[in-house]
Amino acid sequence: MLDTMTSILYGVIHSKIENNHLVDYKTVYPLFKFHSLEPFLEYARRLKLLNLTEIEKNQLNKMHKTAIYKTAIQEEEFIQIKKALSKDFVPFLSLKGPLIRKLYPSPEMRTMADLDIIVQKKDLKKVKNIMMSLGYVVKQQGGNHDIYYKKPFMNVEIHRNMIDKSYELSKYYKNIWTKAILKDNFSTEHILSDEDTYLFIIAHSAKHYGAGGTGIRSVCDIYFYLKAFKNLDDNYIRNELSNLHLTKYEHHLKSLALGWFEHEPLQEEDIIVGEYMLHSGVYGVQRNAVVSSIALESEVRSLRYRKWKFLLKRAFPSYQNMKSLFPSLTYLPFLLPLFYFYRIIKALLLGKVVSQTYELKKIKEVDVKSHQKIKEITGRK
Amino acid sequence: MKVKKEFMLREIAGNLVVVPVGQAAIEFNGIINLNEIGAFLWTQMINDTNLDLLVDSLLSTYETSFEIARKDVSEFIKKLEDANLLD
Repeated sequence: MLDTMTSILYGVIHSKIENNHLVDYKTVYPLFKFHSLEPFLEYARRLKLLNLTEIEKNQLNKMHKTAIYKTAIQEEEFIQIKKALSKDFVPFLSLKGPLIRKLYPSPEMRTMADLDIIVQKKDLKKVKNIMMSLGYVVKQQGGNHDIYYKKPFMNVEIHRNMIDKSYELSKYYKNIWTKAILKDNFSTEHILSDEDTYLFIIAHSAKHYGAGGTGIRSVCDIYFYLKAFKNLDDNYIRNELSNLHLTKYEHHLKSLALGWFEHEPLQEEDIIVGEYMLHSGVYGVQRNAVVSSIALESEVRSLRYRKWKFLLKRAFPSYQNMKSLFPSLTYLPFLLPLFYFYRIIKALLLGKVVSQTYELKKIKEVDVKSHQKIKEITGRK
Repeated sequence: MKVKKEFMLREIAGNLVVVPVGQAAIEFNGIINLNEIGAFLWTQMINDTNLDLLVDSLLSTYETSFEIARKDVSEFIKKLEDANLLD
């Protein structure tokens, strides 16, 4: 399936048919959806790469039109938000989505579930008023980001930090405003250098990779970025990747990008990472997150012990993690037991306890070892 | 007569779509796709105009008869009115 998928992506990127073998739409659509790359299939259809019925053709067309409309709304809303933030002199930095989208052959090919913007902590209240004046409602406040929503599907995340403090990578991004550059004299929009943007794309992908996994779209992002920015300062990037402990990870993702989309040769380790990403989907899967957590524990202990320890950690996360989930704990730490109770009850009602326990039961020692090997290949924990 | 300023015309992947912004995004329920002529008329209606001026603009830009131009413009205006997109 990986070969089929990358072959279709290659065909669309280079507007060429590699072989005359038509791919069954019904077979590939779920995979492309899993990786949030469905719009590519419309272009694959135009290149006559797919075997599909008239009804499926119409479905695909409808999906594509929706992706176009969604892209148009997101772009327009982003313009309105930028104008409003600048009007109130709020410095902001927009994260990868809107930039990377422009680098794809067509913007709607790069789906975005939400718009991510970073502001300084002191401006959060002001930003809340701005967002509400634009018709947004507050969906969540506190933690690493506030979430705002506007019908029909606009989700905007206003971040305090580049990467959530619960991740090791957040330390590198502690003082991001020292790297941010004012984009122009007409707004308060800030950007990162081309190199720092690339580093963030890698770091953000690594963050997901280390949790539930990250999918093919991350490799697409890297491919289109490197294609657009051919003269990046390699010494700087190598140095910073080393500081981020992402040298090996970046190497494999770049190899996959060039391997899949430029047909450069792939090594066995690249293929292993690629297969892992194929099964991870765009934001990772619960199973990977569970195995990943167990894999972090010492192998000296039995698998049963490590599973129980995982369950306890899930039921009773650290105070630091709980603060991210429930920001009021920062000021009212004595409420921690209450929030533990609330969280467990909520998980029970939502069926999360059952689903995670089910996933946990299925995991064998061989799965943990296989997962550890995948992480070792990329230098990730 | 002109189009409401809460609706913006954008081109994505060769498609001309009109998107609602601000409060209109909350209230409007639908997708507006325009063809080339529709997009042309839309841009002419960003500022105050009328049927005759629109027909003149269409005739000076596209090869068509007066009757067809008047009919197309009238239909387009009606559609915008029905969708509550006009001021």
